[in-house]
Amino acid sequence: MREKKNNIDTRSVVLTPKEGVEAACKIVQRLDLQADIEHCPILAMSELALLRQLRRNDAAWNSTPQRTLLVLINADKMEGLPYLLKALYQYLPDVEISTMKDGQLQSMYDNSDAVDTLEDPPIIHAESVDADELSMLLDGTELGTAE
Amino acid sequence: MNEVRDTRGRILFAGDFDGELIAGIEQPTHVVQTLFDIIGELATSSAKENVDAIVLNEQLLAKDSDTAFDALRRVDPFPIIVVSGETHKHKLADISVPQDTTSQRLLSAIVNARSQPIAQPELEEFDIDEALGFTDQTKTTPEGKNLGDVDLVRMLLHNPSKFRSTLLDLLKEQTGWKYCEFVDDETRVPHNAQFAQLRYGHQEHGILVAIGPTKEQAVRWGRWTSCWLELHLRHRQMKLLAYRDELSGAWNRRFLSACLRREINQAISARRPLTVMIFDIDDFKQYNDRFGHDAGDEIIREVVRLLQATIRKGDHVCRIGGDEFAVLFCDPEPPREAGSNHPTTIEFLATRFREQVSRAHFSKLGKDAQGTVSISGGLATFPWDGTEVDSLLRKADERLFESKRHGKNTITISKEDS
Repeated sequence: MREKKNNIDTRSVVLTPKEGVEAACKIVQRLDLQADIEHCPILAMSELALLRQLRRNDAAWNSTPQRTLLVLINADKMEGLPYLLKALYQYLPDVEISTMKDGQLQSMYDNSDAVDTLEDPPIIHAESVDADELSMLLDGTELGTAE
Repeated sequence: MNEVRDTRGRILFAGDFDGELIAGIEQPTHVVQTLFDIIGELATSSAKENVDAIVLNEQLLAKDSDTAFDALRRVDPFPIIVVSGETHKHKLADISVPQDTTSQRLLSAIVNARSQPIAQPELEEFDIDEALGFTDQTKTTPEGKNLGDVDLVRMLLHNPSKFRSTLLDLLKEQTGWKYCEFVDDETRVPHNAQFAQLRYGHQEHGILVAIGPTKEQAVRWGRWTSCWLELHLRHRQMKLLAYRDELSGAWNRRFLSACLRREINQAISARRPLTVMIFDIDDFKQYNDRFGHDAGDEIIREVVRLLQATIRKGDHVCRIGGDEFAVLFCDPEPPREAGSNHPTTIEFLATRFREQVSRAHFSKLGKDAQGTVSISGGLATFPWDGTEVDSLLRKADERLFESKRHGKNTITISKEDS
C-alpha cells in the first residue's frame, strides 16, 4: 500500500468562508490532515455523509474505519451552520466537531464532565410493573378498556 | 393507478407542505424541515429503503440553488428532485411543480421523470470546440471591422461560440441599424423596435429585434439570418453526433483522443498533473446473456448517469467500448476541495464512484440483484505515468487489468496500491 502522509487516522471536512480557503489550506497542511475544504455548509454536510458511507464500507470489509472530523475555521457566522450542527447531531452523531482555537484543534463539545459509560455504568433498580400498568404505559390505555 | 404505484422507495419532503398532499401518497413518505435533514436521511437510508424522490419547498432554496442540488446528488444521484413553488427557475431540478399540485399529479410527474432519457443540461452550453481545441482566435477577424460572409464561415470553423455575436456585428455593419439583438420571446421586444421571427423550416431560432429598419427590411434580413443560424445549429449537431455515444450520452473514443491530446498540451504549459481513469463493468457479458440486452443497456446508461453525478464540472466521461469507459479528470481547480491536492481528490472521486455502482439499483435486473454490479478500473496520471495520449491510456489499461487480476471491484491507482 502507498504510505499515507497524514499522521492522523482521520478523514476531515474543513468548513471555512470562501475568503479563508487559503489560510485553511495552510492549517490543513500544518496539521497534516486528510481533508476536503468546503466553504458552504450544505456541501460540508454532503461530504460528511459520504465519509459516513466510506466508514460503513470499511467496517463491512473489517478494516478499521477512519474517524470523521468536521473542523470549523472562522465558520461561526456562516449561514446555515446551526442547521448543519443540528442535522449532524441527529443523523451523523459520530462526526467529531472541532474548532480552531489558539492555533490548535479543540473539540466543540467538551465532554470531560460526562460520565464514562464504559466504566461503572449506573444501575437503575426499577420497581416491578404489572400488566395493566405496562399496557397503559405503552398504549396510553388500560387493559380491558381498549376495544 | 398501477403505473403510479410502480415506484421503488420513499418520497422525502423538505419544508412546509399541505397535509393532504402528503396523505394522498400511497408509498412511504417522510417530512423533514431542512436540506441538511434530507442529506442526513439519504446518508442513513438502508439499502432496502431507497429514496425515490425528494420534494423541496422552493422557500428552502437560497439564491444558489445549484449548490443545494449538487449537495443532494453527491450523496445519492438517483432520487428525482422536485421543486414545489411558483418561479420554475431551477434548471438543475428534475421537475418543478406548482405549490397547489395534487398527490396524483406529483406522483405522475415523478414516474414520468424517471422514464425520461438521461438529462444533459450542460450539453446546450458545452463548448465542444473549446474542449477539442478547435477554437483558433488567430483565424478570425477582430469584431466589427469590414465583416463579410467569409467571416461567418471562419467563425463557424474556428470560433463557433462567437458566431452569434459576429452575426449581429455583421448585421449592424451592413444595415446601419442602431440596435439589433436576438431574443427568445416577443415580450422582450422594445416598443419602438421592429422584429422578425427567425425560422428555418420547422426549426425556431428566436426573434430578430432591430431599431431602424422597416418591417419589410427586418423580415428580409431575418430570413437571411435564419439560414446562417440553421447552418450553425446543424454544424454543431453534426459535431455532437461525431463525438457522442448515442446510448449512454457520454462522449466517444474519438472525443477522448482529441480531448486528451489537448488537455496534455494544456497540462504541460500549466505544469499541472492530469489524470485519466479507464474502467469496465465486471462480467458485463453475463448481464446481457442472463437478463437481455435491455438490461445491459440500462446498466450502461445508469453507470454513466452515476458517473456524471460524481465527477466535477470540467471532467469528461467517455464510452470507449461496449462496457469500457474512460474518465478525463480535467478540472484543474476542483471547486469544492480547494485544499486537497489533485490526485488525492481524484482517488477519492474514483473510489466513491466504485462504491456507488456497487450499491446501485438496476430495475431491469430485479430487486434481488441490487449490489451485484461492480466495476474495475485503473488510473494513470500525467506526467508520472505517461506523457503522451497512447502511453497514458496504456498505463491506465494495464492498471485496469491489474484490478481484474486482484478479484475485480477494485480501482488500481498505482503499482503499490494493488
